[in-house]
Amino acid sequence: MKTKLPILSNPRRNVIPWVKNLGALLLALLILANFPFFNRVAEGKETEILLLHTNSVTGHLFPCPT
Amino acid sequence: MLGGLTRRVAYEEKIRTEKQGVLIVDSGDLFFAPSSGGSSEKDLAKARLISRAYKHMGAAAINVGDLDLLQGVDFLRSEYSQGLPLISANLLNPSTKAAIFSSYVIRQVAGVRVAFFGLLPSEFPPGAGIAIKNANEGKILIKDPVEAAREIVQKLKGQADLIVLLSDLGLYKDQTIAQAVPGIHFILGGHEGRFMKKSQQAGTTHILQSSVKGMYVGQLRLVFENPTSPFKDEGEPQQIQERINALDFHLRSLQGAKERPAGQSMENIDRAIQDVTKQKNALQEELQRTQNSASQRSRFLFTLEPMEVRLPEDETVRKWISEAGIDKD
Repeated sequence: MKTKLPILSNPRRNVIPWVKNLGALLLALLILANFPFFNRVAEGKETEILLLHTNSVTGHLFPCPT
Repeated sequence: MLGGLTRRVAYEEKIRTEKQGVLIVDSGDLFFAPSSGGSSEKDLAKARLISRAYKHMGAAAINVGDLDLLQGVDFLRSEYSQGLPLISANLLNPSTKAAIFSSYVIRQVAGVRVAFFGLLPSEFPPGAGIAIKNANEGKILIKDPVEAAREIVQKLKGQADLIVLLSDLGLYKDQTIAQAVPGIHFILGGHEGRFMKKSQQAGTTHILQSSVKGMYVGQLRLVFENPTSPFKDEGEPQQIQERINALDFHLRSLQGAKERPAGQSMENIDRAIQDVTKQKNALQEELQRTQNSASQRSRFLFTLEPMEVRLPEDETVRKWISEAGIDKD
């Protein structure tokens, strides 16, 4: 009688289910990590930004002589 | 001689290439001088050049100031439709009561979500006020700034790490808003165009202005240590040190006067020396406290960079000005 070995006979089923789930979880985390949601400023990590500001320019194109 | 659009553009673009996380903003009264009341083609041409230059620089947000309405809101609508990032939380369409431009914008840089919203005063200045009213009859409605600020800040909470008000209200009203509406981290102000080397604090909000006529560019460097902690002024130790140096100078002159008394009684000089020494010691203690706490919090440093004539000019913008046939203001 020919015995069919379920695991070896089908290579697609040759993956332990929890390994498959872990792979899916890691893939999901990798995708989410690239979203801005995860790029928020983290506590304890220094982040620097610079704002360049003007006000009351009032149409001046050229240097002010005063 | 300070200022000039070509220098400002070159300077800001240079900073952008050297550093990451740079945002360019303006608090209003960008386009027109108070004297340009009538509808002059030259004034409009200048305003279009400024708008083009700010788009060229990739400005993040430009608040509408009252003087920007001098040639009518339609000019601003046209520039806005061509990509100028105008904002105003209290400039409304009188029919729909909806904001004419974006009430706020959120820009994400270096992982920080920075929200900018803008306000202009509900009362116009005595001189230019009539021209502003005439140019915008039936086209605009200005909402109370405090009420508008309250609504926007409420909306922004949770959406942004940093809330910045670009204000054309003037320092006094900025202080009122800061007290009445908690949650605004910085107010980059204007309207009266003060030269402010030091920030003013109202509640937990820091208020700054960057002079007038584009003579200076205000640089606000922000370092986030902890997103929920208040900001500490990194310039404070230097300001305290400057006061200590001034007292040192005063002490040296008093000691000199003691060695060469000229009319003043020795008793008065000794008392003055004691007073100044006491003040100096108190400042030294304050300096120590400030230095110890500076490393534990998010911090900022504000500097005013003079746009000196020796700075390089942006050739593209210079060409635009020359093509427009404008050779002086």
